[in-house]
Amino acid sequence: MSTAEVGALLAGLDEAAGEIPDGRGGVLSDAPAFRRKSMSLKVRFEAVKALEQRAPGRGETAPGDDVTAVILDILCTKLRRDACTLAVEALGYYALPMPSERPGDNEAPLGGAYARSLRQGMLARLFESEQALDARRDHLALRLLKARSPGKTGTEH
Amino acid sequence: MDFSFSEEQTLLQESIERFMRNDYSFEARQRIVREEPGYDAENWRTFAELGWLAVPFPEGDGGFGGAAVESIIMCEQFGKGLVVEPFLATVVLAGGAIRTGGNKAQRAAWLPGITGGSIQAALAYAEPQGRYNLADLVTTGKRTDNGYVLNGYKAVVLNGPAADVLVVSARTAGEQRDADGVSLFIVPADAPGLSRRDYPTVDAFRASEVTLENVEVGTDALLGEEGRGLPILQQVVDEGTLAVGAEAVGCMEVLYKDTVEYCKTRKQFGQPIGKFQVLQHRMVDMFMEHEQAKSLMYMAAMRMDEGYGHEARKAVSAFKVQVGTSGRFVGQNAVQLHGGMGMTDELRIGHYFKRLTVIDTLFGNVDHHLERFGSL
Repeated sequence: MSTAEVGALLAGLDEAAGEIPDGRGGVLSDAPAFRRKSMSLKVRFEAVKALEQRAPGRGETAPGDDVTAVILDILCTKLRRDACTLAVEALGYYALPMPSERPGDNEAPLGGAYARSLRQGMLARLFESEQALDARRDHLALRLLKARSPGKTGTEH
Repeated sequence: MDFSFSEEQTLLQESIERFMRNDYSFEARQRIVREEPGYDAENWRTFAELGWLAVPFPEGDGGFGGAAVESIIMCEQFGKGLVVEPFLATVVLAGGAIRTGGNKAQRAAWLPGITGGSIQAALAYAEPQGRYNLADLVTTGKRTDNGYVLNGYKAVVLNGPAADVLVVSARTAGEQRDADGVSLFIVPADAPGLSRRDYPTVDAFRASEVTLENVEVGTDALLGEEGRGLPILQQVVDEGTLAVGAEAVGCMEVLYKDTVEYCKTRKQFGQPIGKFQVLQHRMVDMFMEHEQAKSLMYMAAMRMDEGYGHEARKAVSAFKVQVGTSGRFVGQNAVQLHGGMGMTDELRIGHYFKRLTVIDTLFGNVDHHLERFGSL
């Protein structure tokens, strides 16, 4: 899972939220509760991007020196999962249908084009197992517990 | 984007780190906060002698020309040491306001004292009704023949008890929440009509409630143009946000490292508790929260150094949101994993958590900055 993929998912969610009615005469992207959740995801995405940009300067070149890569993998997976959850919220009732929508189908997409796009892009990934995340956490835990004692912070950055 | 430090920046970081390691133990810090004025004057002199108080000021004002990156380098180390000396209030906030808005005479009058360590200062910007809205001001500045008369009340003025001078925001025109009409004034702490109610804060710092009753100041006390003080205040508060956020990053590093160390040695059921997967995963999550906050800290500092504008404000807000959420997570889990010991006064864990909690509310909490991030 890359940051580019997560960025594309969030952009898709943003676009859809600008079209989905909020039930009060406006659109979802202006509804305070939804907006807050969406902004939280975006801040997390900013952190992931900053972490990715920080990686080259940290000298993780030796085999096994992959801490940043593992963190990025975990964070991107969690972001994708949470973006998918928010997509379900955004779609409301139209998160329910699971028709076989294939490219070239002539039938109008259920819930509109944005609903089909969200279903295809996100819902399929919603139920991805937490197991993979735990395996990556195990990997990081090994590194953390082997690390030097606190107080000696060095000049890492 | 290059996040690596220059040679000077690395030297600055190492110099503060060395001071914290050799001269600023947790026990020493606790001795300092138990007595008035709540910071160590000797330490403050040392900060001045080492040039740390001059770092964020231009060379023309007797400073070292440092900027946002230098500020986060310093404040991250101060956070690791849980430093109570009023660097934020005096140098970043009040000093920052004078540096940003002051004319040549004002800068010459006040900045040498601040950088030299002989003047303590405070920024009195918050009011009880205003929450995090810097423009929401009931305090007024009325023009007179000789200058201005200030009336009003300022809340939770950090370093208020020790301040020799205050930078005070007041409304000189417009309605209570208008962006225009906000002015900043340099007010000596002993000005007739200015009174303070001093108190310690939950994280062992000091603050005051400040009442202004017909406080007269000359026209030379006005910082910047009359009615155009809000942009100055906004920039200074964003610099302060970056600084306390960096402190929080330092606090988080200590918390997760202390927790890892504790879990490696504390035994239950015949083995170190760090062997339990569920606790390992919590420590990993604490570590990742710290990494995210630190990454956004660098990003925000670099945006600020590129120029204070839309992108910088947005990056600072993103950083503050992350600091608030990560700080709470790391603090709560550090206390949880230390068991009952986590909140005792003897262990430093609880003190770092208190500081993180205060930092979350300073200059706007998560909700405030999330809203601002979305609106920019």
